[in-house]
Amino acid sequence: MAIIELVGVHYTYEDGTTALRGVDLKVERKEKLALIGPNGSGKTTLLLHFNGILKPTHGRVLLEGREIKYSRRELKELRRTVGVVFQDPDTQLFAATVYQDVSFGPLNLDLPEDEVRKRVEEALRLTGALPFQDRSPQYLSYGQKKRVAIAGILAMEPQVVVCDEPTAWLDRDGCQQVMELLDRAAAAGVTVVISTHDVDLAYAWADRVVVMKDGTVIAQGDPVEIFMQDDLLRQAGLHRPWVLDMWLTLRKKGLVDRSATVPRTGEELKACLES
Amino acid sequence: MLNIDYYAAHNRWSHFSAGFKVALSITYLLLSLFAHNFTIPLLVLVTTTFLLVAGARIPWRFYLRLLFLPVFFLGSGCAAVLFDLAGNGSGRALAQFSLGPVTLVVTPNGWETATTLFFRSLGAVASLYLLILTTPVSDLIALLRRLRVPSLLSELMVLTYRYLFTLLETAGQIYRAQDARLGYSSPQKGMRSLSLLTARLFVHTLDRGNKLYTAMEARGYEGEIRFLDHREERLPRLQEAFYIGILALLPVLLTVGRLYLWP
Repeated sequence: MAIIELVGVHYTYEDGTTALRGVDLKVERKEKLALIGPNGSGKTTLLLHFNGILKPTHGRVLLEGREIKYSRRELKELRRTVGVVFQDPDTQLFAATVYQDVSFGPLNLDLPEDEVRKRVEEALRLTGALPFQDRSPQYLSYGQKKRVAIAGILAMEPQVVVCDEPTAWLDRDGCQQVMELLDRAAAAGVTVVISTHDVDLAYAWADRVVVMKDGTVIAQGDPVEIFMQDDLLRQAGLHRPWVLDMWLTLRKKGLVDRSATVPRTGEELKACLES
Repeated sequence: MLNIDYYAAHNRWSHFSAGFKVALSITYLLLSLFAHNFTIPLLVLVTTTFLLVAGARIPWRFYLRLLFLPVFFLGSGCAAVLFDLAGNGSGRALAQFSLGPVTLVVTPNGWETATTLFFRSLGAVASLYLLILTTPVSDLIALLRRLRVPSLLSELMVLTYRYLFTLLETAGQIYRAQDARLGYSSPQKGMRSLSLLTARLFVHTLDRGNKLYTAMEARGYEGEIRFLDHREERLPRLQEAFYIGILALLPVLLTVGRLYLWP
């Protein structure tokens, strides 16, 4: 059974902008899912439905098959299950020190203090934030803030981590650290959902991609199948990941083995050429 | 102000127990305030300066600049106490100045009052600098929380502290963006740009507030901001004993000094 399911979700903001026009989407347990689409396609709005921050204007959100009715108790349950990491860590970090900030979420779950401390320390260790746990957010680099924001969610030990544009404004090393962090969470059995407009990242990382455009899902499935479709990419305003593009070109020239599995990363592509 | 915050978080004493620093600072403060002449406040000034510059390694230029901030007000205030009108009081004058029809004199009494006032105030200011230059705000808030200050107050302090910085950063960014497009090239344009900046900042603050609320809700916020402080690590025993020794010995030394050396 899907851990989260959205059925016919419409959402219109107070100012009259319609951001979602009937989204049907299932998030399966323990998958790595990437939502891709250009800016303004509704990715962020959709993510905010995953833990009940936004309530659909029409449509339903189901958690493990049960429809959410948005009662206080259900919302708490939903937020315990699904954690959202916001794009700009500055909107998320509010406390005077890193340690305080990470402890905020688990304390809201009414856990005993010892358990909270254990989780905070574990999350800080996992995200490499231990060396600056006593610092104030204004003295952290952007990449450090991002990792602290993720630690704040991991400390709540959610079953699903939702990350809005996890690599936005990060340098190469920063991106790599954040994605490794998400991979580690996924390896530990957490379902990870990210939104991104970086097709290379989505192609290399995701088990499944969901393509959005103008508030609807126009396609979803295996990354290789999705990114093979020229028409779809044109329609969504996306381009083909460079690894796949290069591989298709090489295949046309007969330089790579047709039957081999399609490479997803630069390293895999190199391996194809060397064999 | 931002420099103070930076040094408070990045000096050799940053990680010391905030309780210890508060106690030290208050001891010095009281010593200064209750002094009857300038010797003890001067000693306090010298000691705090030594502790800040040599102990906590606050750059001395920066510290001196801070110390000069109150000197201007103090100087003008003390001048009023120092000078007296000739023929007003009794006794001899240490010095006298004529300003047209008025003659100002400095009496021994005026001299003593003025110097005591000057050093007492400066000693008190230095005692507080000892606290604020060495203690990160987060540690102070944590201390207040341990002292059972109402959580509403500590929550407000935490949020204010955090958002002061983002507000200043945003104001700085908008200012630089305006300046880069010649927004401050004439006084009139400057006024216009500044009003736009203020309006933008207001909207931005509301927006920030909304986003913060959303982000906190996403982490299960239900009306009470709760967080834990990192447990304070204890200092090495010897160091702790040394500093507590200074703290305890100081009033004793000074009292002895007052009684026997400078009665």
